[in-house]
Amino acid sequence: MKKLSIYIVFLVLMIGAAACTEKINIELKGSTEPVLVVDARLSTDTTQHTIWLSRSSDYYAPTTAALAVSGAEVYITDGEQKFEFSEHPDTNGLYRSNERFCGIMGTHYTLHIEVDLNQDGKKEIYTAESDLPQMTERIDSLKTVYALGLPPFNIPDPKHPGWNILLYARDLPTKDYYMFTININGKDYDRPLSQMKWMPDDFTQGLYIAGLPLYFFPDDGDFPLHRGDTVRLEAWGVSADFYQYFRDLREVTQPSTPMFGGSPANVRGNISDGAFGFFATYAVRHGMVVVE
Amino acid sequence: MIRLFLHIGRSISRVWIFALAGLLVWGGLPGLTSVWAAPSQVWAAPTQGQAAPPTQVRLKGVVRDADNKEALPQAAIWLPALRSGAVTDAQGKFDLSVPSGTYAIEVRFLGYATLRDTLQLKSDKTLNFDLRSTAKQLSGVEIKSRQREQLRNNITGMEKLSMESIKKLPTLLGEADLLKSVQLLPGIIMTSEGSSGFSVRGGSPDQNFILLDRAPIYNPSHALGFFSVFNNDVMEGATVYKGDIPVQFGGRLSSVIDATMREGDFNRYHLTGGVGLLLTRLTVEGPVVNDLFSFLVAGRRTYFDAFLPLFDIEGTRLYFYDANAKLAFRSRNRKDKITLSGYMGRDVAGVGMMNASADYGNKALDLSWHHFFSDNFVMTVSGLLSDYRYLMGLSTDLFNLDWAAHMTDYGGQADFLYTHGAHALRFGLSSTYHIYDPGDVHINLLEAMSFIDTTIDWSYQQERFHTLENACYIGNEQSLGEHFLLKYGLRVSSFSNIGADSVYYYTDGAVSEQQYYPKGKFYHTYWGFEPRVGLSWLIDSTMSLKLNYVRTVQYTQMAQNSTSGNPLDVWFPANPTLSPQTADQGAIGFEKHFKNDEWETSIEFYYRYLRHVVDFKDRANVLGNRYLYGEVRTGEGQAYGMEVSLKRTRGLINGSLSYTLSKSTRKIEGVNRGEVYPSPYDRPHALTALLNIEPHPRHSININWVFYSGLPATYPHGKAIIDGVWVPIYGDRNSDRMPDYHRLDIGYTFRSKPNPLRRFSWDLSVGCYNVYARKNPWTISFKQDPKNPGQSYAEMIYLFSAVPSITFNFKW
Repeated sequence: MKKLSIYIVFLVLMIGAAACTEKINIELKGSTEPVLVVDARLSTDTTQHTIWLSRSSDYYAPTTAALAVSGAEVYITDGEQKFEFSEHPDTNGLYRSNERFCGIMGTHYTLHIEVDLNQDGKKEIYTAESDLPQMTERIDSLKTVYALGLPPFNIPDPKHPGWNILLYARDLPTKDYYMFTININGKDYDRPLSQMKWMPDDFTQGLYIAGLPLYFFPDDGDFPLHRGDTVRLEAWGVSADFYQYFRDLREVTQPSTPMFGGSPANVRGNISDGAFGFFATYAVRHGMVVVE
Repeated sequence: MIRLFLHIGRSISRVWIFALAGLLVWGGLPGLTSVWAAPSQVWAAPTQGQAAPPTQVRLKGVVRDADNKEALPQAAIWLPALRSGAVTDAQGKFDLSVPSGTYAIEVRFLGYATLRDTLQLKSDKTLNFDLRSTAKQLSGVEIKSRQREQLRNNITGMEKLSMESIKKLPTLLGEADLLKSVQLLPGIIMTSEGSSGFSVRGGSPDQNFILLDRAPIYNPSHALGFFSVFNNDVMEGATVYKGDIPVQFGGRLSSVIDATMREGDFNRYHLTGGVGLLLTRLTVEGPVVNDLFSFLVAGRRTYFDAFLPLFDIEGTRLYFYDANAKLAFRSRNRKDKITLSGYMGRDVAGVGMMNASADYGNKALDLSWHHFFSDNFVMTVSGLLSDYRYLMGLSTDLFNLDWAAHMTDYGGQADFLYTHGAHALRFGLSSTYHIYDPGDVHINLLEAMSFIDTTIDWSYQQERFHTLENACYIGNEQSLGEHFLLKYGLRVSSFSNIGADSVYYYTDGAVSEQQYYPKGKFYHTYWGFEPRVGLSWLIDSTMSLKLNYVRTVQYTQMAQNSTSGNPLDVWFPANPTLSPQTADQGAIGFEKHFKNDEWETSIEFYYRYLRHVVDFKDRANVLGNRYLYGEVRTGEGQAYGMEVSLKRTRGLINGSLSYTLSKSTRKIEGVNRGEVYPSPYDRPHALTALLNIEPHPRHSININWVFYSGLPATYPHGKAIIDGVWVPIYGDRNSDRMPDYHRLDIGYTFRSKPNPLRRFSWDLSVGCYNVYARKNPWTISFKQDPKNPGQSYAEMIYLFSAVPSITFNFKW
C-alpha cells in the first residue's frame, strides 16, 4: 500500500510534465563471467515440479537456447526424503522431478545443484534453502460481478464497465504474503511470474476477506470476459523472502524515474555461491468460477 | 561561467540599469547581513615612493540617492590624484583619511550619474553626496573599486549575484531565477534537468544552506524545480559561498546561498510586474511613513492549469503561488533599523476524479533589528521561523488516504561586527530548535468497501525528532600592511537531541533496541569545532593569491537516494546512531586582471575530505520508513578539482568562459563492497560559456552554452532469464555514466527608451531554452522489447526539447 500511495502521488505530480520517451544507444561494459541462473519452484500441488537452469549473458545479447545449462545433477531434500530431478529429453535446461510429489507446509527444503558451469572440468556446487509457509485452508469461493472497476486495485470509471472477480477466504492471523494468478478458459492470463498480482495482508490479517475485487476486465480492454468463460485462480502463500524476490523482479523489469528510484540494485535471491535466482517453496490454493 | 558580479540595482532604476554590463560592480547587499559590509572599508592602492604627507585630514559623509535620499551602499568615492578612495558601508557612509590638499573627487554608483567635484581639504570635513539616477552608468571607478575589492577580499570561491545579472540569463520559460543562475557558477552544477537542486563541488544538494533573509529554505523549488521560491522582483541579491564559508554560517558542508529580500522604497510608490507564458507576478511597494517606514508586497501565480484542457486533461489542478512581504522601519538618525520579512508559497497538484491532491510549500519569517552602537560597531539581532510541509490526500467513497509531513525551525541569532583600524572583528551566537516530522500515513478503509465487514483505520506512524542546534563564533579579518589580509576564526557548534523522541538502535542493519526519551530530556549532544583560516596576498593592483582552510559540520541531512529531487523531502538529524557529517576543505586561488580590469582570469584548486558522509544501502526505502536510520550507510568521501575562468567585463561583446575539472568519490562500508566509488554528483568536466552582445542600450542578446559530463549511473552488465523474462544484472553502483549533458540557450531583450524622467519602463524578453533541441536524458531504463522478446534495448526519458518563451516586465 505504501508503494501504491507513492505511485499515485507520482502520477499526480507527473501530469503536465512534458516528458518524451525515445530509444537511445547506450554502450555497456561487457558482462563479467556468466553466472548460474536458477528458477526453482516447489508447491503444495502434487505434480512433477520443475527447475530451470541457465546462464547469464551480455545485456544486449539476443536470447538463444545456448544459454540453457545441461548436464546438471539436481535434487531437493527435506532432510529425510530426497527427490531427484532429471533434465527434459527435448528441452535443455528444464529439469523435472522423477516422481509426482507435493511440498508440505512448514517443512524445510534444501535444493542441491551440481554443474560444471565454467567448463573447467570440475563441478561447482550450489545450494538453496527454503521453508514452505503456512496458508489458509481454502479459497471459499470466487464471485463475478459486472460493474465498474472496484477499488482498491482499480479506480471506478463510468466509461469502462466490465467484470470484477471477487475473492472470499479467511486470512490467517499471521503476517502472510499472497500472490495470485488466473487462467481463463485454459489460458494463463497474468504470467510470467513478474506479472502476477500480489498483496501483503496488512489490512486483512485475521479477518474474513468477503469479496476482495482482485481482478477487473473492462469490456473495452484487451481481455474482455464473457458469460460462460471459466476462470481458475491460483492463490500462492509465499515466504517473506520470495515476496521480496518477486518485488525486486518487478522493480528491475519496470522503468524507474530519477525522482523516486534510487540506484538500481540487483535482485536478491537465495541461491549460494553467486548464482542468480530463487528456490521458491509455496502453498497453493485453487478456486474456480464461471462468469455469469 | 563565471562570476556574474552585477550590481544590485536600486529599485527606482531597476529595469533599465544595464547598458554596458551587468557583469560588473560588486553589489553590496544593503543590510548588515552581508558578511563583509564592514563600515567604510578603506583601501589604498600601493603607491611608489610616497613622501610622508604633511597632515592627514578626515573626510566623511553619506552617499545618497538624490530623489529619495536612500543611502547607497558600496558606492565608490575616488580621488584620482591619490589613486585612493573608499567604498560606502551598508548605510551609505564613508570615512577616509587623506593628506590635506586640494583634490578632484569622483563619486560613483552603478545606475547613477557620476558626481565630480573639487574639494579643498584643509581640515576634517563632513560632506553628503547626492547622486542622480540615470540610465548611463559604469565607468572606470567602480569597476576598479570592485575589482580591487574582489582581488583583495579573502574569501575563495565567493560569488555575488544581483538580480540584474540574473535577469540577463536566458532561462527555461523566461522566468529569471536565482537558483538557475547559481547553477551556472563555476563548480556548481544542477542535479538534473529542470531541477532547482544543485551540487557544489561534487556535494549533495542537501549540503547547501539556502537562506532567505536568514531563514533556511528547506525545499527551494516550485513545480518540481522548474521554478525556485525566489521571486526575482523582490530579491535584493544573493551571496554564494562555495566552501569557504564565513564563520557566521554553519550547519552545511558545501555551500551557503545567502539571499536577501529588498526593502520597499521609503519615499515613493512603485508597481513592478511581469507576464510570462506560465506565470504572472506583481509587486507593490512604497512608504508607510515617508522616509522611515516602508512596505513591499509581492505575489506570483502560475496558470498552466488553464492550458491542461487543451491537452484533454480535465479536472486537474496544477499550480503554485507564493507571496513575499517585507516591512522596514528605520530611525531618523539611521542608527536603528527593524525589518520584518516573510515568505510563503504553495504548490498544488490534484486530480478531480479521484479527489487526489498533493501540495507542498515553504514558509519563512524573519524579524531583525540592526543597531549601530557607533559607526564601526554594528549589531544584528533576529528571530526566525522556517517551515516546509507537504500533504497528500486521496479520498473516495471507499477509502481515504492521507500523509502529512513537515520540517520546522524556530531560531534566533545575534551578530556583532566591530571594526577598528586594521581589524574587522565579528562575533555572535545562534540557536535553532528543529522539529522533524517525517509524517504519518493514515488509511481508512470504509465499510462501503464491501470486502471487509468493518471500517479499518490503519496508520503508519513515524517518530518525530526534536533537536537544538547552537553555535557561537568569533572571527577577525586583519590587514597586514598594504598587501596582506589575514582572516581567522572559530565556530563552536553543538547539536542536542531532545525528547520526546523514540530512537531505534541497530545492530547489523536490524533493529535491536528501541529507546524512548521523555519530553525535554537532552539525550545526546554532539560538539563541532570549526576553524576557518585564510590569507590573501594582493601581489600588485592586478594580481592576488588567496588560500584558505575551512571545517564545516552538518547535523541535519535529507534522505534522498535519487538524483532528481521530489517534494517528499525527509530531513533527519544526527542522533546517537548517526554521527554528524564533517568536511575539511582547503582551497588556493590565483586571480589576474588585464587591460585595466577589462579582462579577468582566475584559477582555483580545492580539496575536500568528508567524514561520515551519508549514502544509502541498496534499494533503500527512504519514504515513509520509520527504520530510516537502518537504511543509512556512512563512510568517507573526497572531492577535489580545479576551476578556471576567463571573463571580459565590458565591451560590445562581453561574457565569460569557465571550465571545471573535478572528482568526487565516496568509500562506504556496505556499498560496492567498501570500495571507492564515484559520488552521485561526480561530473568530471563542466564547461559554461556566457556571451552578452549589447550593441545598444535598448537591445541585448544573451547566449549561454553549458556542457557537463553525464552523472554517474548504474547500468546492467548482464542479464538472466527468469520465467521467460529478461532480468538485468547490474554492475556496481555508479560504475557507469549517463550521456553528457549540453544545451544552448538564447535570449533577446528589448527595452523601453531609457528616460530618467519617465516613471514607467518596460522590457520584453523572448528566449529559447535548449535551442538545438538536444535530447538530454533525464532517466535511462533498459527494457526487453515487447514485440521481439529476444531483444533488449535502452530507452531514455528526456524532459525538454527546444522551449521558447516570452515575458513582458514593467515597472512604474
